[in-house]
Amino acid sequence: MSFLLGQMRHQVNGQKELTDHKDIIKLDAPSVVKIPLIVANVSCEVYVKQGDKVKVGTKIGARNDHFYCPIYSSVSGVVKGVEKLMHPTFKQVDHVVIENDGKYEAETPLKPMDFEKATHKELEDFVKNLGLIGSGGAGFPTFVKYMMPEKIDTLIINAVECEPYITSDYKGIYENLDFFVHGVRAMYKLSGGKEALVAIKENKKDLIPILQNAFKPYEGIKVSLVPDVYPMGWERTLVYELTKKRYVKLPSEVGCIVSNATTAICLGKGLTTGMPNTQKLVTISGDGVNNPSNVLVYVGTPVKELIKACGGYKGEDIVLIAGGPMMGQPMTTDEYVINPACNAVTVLQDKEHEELACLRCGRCSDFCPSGLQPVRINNSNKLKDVDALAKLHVMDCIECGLCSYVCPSKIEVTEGVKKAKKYFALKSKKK
Amino acid sequence: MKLKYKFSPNYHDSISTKGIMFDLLIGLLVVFAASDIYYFIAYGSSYGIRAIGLLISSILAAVLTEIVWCLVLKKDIKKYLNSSFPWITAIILTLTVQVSISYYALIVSTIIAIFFGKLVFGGFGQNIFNPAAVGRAVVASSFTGSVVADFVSGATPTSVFANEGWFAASNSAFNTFISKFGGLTNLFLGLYPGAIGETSVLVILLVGIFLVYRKVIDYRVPVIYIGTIFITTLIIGLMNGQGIWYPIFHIFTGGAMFGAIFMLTDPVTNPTAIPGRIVFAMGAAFFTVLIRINSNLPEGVLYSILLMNILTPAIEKMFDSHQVNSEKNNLKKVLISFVVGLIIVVGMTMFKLNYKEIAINTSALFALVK
Repeated sequence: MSFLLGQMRHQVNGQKELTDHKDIIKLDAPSVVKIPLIVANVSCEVYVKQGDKVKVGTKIGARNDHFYCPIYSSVSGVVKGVEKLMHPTFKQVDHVVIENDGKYEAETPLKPMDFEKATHKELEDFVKNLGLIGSGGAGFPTFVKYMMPEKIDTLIINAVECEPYITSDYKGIYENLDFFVHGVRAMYKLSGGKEALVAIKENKKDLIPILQNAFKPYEGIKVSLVPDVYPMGWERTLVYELTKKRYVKLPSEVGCIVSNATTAICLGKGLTTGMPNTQKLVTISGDGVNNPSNVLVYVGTPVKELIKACGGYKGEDIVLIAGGPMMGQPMTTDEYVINPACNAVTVLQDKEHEELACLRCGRCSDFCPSGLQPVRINNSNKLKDVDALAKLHVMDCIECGLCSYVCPSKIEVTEGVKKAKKYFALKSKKK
Repeated sequence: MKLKYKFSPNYHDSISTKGIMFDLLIGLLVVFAASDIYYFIAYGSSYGIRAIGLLISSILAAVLTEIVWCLVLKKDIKKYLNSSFPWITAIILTLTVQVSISYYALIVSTIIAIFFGKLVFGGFGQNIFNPAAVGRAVVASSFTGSVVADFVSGATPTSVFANEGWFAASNSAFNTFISKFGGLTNLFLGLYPGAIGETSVLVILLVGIFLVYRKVIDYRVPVIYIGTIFITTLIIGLMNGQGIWYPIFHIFTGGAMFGAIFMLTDPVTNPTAIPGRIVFAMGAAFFTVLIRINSNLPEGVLYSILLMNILTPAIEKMFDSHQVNSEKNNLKKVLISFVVGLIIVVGMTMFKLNYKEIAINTSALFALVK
C-alpha cells in the first residue's frame, strides 16, 4: 500500500469453518457419467463413438492445438454417444455420455515415472500426456508454463485458496500429503527454478507445521505464509506479495511460475500410479445446503448428486454457483457435471440487496487488485465512450468481484465492468 | 425450490452507504455537542438552546424540501429520504454558521442548498457542488447582516486578521491580537465564539481520526489539504517577515480543519481516484490561501471547495489510467501540480504587494499630469 495506491485487497470472511473440519463424503460414480469435451474454453476432438467399451483411463478425446490436453474416462463402461449439456462456463458444451458398469476396470495410459532420474523433456511430456490442467480456475494445461525452465527463478505453489467457502485444496493437502510433497518436488525440478515457495494463508494454523515438517528434508522448498486477504490467491497479487515484482502479462516475465496445490497432488498421484486424475474433491458449501461438506466424486458426476449427498437444498430461493461466491458462475441448472477444473459449488439462499445511488466514494478503485477504476469504467460504459474505456485498461479486469463486494451502495459494479469488457471487445474488433 | 440467476459476486461487505452516513452523522453530532456544551457554560442557556434550535430548524427545512420534491415528482418519500440523507447537509451547514444568525437566513440557505445544490442535479450522488458549501455561500453573500442583535456575533480571529490583510505588522502585534482570543492554544481548543462547529480544532481532529478509523473518509484528503496550507503559508510567511506562528494560525482558523475533515472529504463531490483526491485537496488548499490573502473575501475555505468541485471532472479525466502501471506518471502529475500551484500562489501574493506600490506610482503620475 503506497500513498498513491489503495489497498488493492481486502479481508473477506472466509466461511471456511463450515467445511474445513468435516469428514470427506465419498461418492460412487452414477450409472451414467458425462465428461465435458472442453479444455480451457476450447472444444476438443472426440476419439470414441457410440458402443465403444472404455475403461478408467481410456483416452476419449483431446484438445489438439499448441495447448495439447488429453481427456480420460473416469469410469469403465459403454459409450452412449455425445450430448450437449450446460457447462460451468455457462455455455452448451459437448459431453461424452458413458454408461457406468460399476466395475472400475482400469488401464494405465502412462508408465509410473521416477522424476528424479527423468530428463526435463521426459517429465514435460509426462505432464502433457497426463492431461494435467491447472486447478486454480481457468484450467489451462499445466505443461505450457514449464516450457522455459531457463527463465525461471521461483516456483510458487498456490495453496492460498482465498475464495470464501472453498476448502477443497486445504482438505486435499491433508488427505494426500505424500502425493502433494511428491508433486511439488517434481514441479520444482521441472520448473528449473532456484527455489520453490508453498504459499499458504497464515491463519491455517494446523496445516502450516505439517507442511513445514513435510518439506524440511528437501532443500530449496519453503513454506511461505501470506496474509488472509482477498484475492491473495490471484497470481499477480501472490507474485507481488512474495517477490515484490509486478509483471505485464505472465508471471514468467519476472521469473515465476504459479501452480495450484491440487495440481501438484494430481501430478504426485500420476507419477506414482501412471493414472490420470479421474476424481475431484469438491467443496459444497453455503447457507443454501443442509450439510456443507467436501465431496470426493468421479469426473462427470452431475452436481445434483453432490447436493443430495450433502443433505439437499435449504430454503426455497437458491443461488447455485459453480465455484466460489466471488468469481464463480451462477448456474440455472444443477444438471451440469463436475469437470477436472471444478473445485467448489456454492449454494446460497437468495437475499435481496437494496441498491442505493453511487456515492462516488471510490472504494472500488481503492481495492481493485488490478489497479483499475471500476466506477469510471462503469460511467464510461454508460456513455459508450470507447476511448475512455481504452484509457482505463478495461480488459485488464479479472472479474474477481472485489469491487461489488466493497461497494457500500451494493451496486453490481463487477457486472457493469464485465459488460464494458464485452462492449469494448466488440468495438475494438470492428476497428 | 427455485434456482435463481444472480450476478457474481454473491458476497458483500457489511459496510453500507447507510452505515457510512450514520458514522458521519455521529461525528457531526459530537462536534455539535462539544460546541453546544461550550455555549451553555460560557454564554448561558439561551445560547445553547439557540444553537439546538438552529440545528433542528435547518434539519426540518432540509427534510421538508425533499418531501415537497418527492410530492411534486411523485416519488416514494420514505425510500427517497432513506437514500438521500438531507440531514447531513443541514447539520454541516448549521455547524459553519454563527450562533447569532437569524432562523430565517439559515432556513432559506438550507432550502437553497438542498434544492439548487442537490435536488436539481438529480439528488444524492449526482450533485457536482457540495450542498452545504452552496448553502454557506448563500449565507456569506446574502445574509451577512441577518443576525439577531441579542447574541454576540463578535469579531472572530479570522475576521480580525482578514481586516489586517492577513499579515501582521510584527510578531508582537500578532501576539497582542491573538492574546485577545486566548492565544494559539485556545484557538486549538476552540474556546472562543465563531462558527458553531468550526472553532475547536481538537474536537474536529478527534472526530476525524474516528472517521478515518471507520473508513468513512480518506485520510489523504485532510492531510494533504492541511499540509499544503501549512507549507504554502510557511513560505509566504517567511517571505513577509512573519513568524512560525503564521502557518499554524492559518490551519487553526477559519474552518480550515472543519472543511478538511467534513467538506472536502464529501465523496460525492471529490474525485474517485486516490491521486485525484490528492490533487483535489491540494488545489483547495492553494485556493484557500490565495483567497484569504489576495481577495476581499473574509474566508477562503468555503469558496476553495466550490471552485475545486468545478474542477473535479477534469481531475478525474487527468487520472483515468491503470493505477498501478501509471503510478510513477501519476506521482509526476501530483508533484507538478504541487510545484505549479505553489509558484502561482506564492507569486501572486508577492504580486499583490507589488501591485500596491504600482498603484501609488500611478496616482503620483496622475498628479504629475494634472
